[in-house]
Amino acid sequence: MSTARLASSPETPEAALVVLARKGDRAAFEELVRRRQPWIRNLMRRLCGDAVAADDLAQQVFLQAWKSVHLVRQASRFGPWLKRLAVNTWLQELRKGDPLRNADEFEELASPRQDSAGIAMDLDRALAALPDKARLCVVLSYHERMTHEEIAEFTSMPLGTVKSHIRRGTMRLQELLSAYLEQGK
Amino acid sequence: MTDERDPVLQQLFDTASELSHDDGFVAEVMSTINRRRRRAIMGWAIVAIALVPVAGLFGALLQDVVQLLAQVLPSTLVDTEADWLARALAPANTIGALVAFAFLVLRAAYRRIFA
Repeated sequence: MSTARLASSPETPEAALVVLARKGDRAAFEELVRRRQPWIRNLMRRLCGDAVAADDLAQQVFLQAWKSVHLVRQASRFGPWLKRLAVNTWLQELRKGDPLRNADEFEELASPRQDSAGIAMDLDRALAALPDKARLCVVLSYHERMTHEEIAEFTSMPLGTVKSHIRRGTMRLQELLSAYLEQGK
Repeated sequence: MTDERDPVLQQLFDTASELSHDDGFVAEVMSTINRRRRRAIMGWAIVAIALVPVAGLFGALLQDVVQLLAQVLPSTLVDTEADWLARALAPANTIGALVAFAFLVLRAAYRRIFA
């Protein structure tokens, strides 16, 4: 198979695409963006609470990835590397100012929604009500299913702080999304 | 608290993550990459064009700097009495080796931080 066909084939393993992208192959990188964009955009939406701002941040993540993909040492570890890039992009955005300025205020839920878009909107509003660090820990725990130890290592926060953020964040989400929780019982 | 998660919250996160593929997003990322690449090429071309008269003006000075570097870089860092020791240390015991070592350390640090 030619390099061009390999780069744009949906069956090509991700590690092979990373190797090609490291050499500057744009078709391979485009395929990587195609495969990874729902995940990164979702992660940014949970962190940011605003779909437009989240897509802008996701775009920044991929632009940064293109600039530094040659630094990926293990092609098979592209996913974790990209996640770290996404979280760093988010942390930089936090340092710049209030990235949740466009997020909707949380209002009392009248009734739980059934569609995934509606659920996502309610969840994002509830997450926006959490402090920045707590939101990051909760999102990494629930959205990324990372363990507390992994989150502590990933964010350079002490393990006890991570546990406390997740405990308090979970309690606050349970309170804000009680309509869903009562329905789920 | 253990790593256990609230199952209902977990279900909400899973349902909310059903964002579909968006080819528009991919196209936007790739067109920005192409635009930046074109801009970088233009920038380098402008720098190259600007360097032509600069090279004419400062060519002699540049030659002096290169000559100076050629003299300084092979200079020994530490003088040793024993001839055999001086020969053994010769590849590393120069200002050039020190500069190369500093470059490698900085590059490794950069990769460790950003990789």
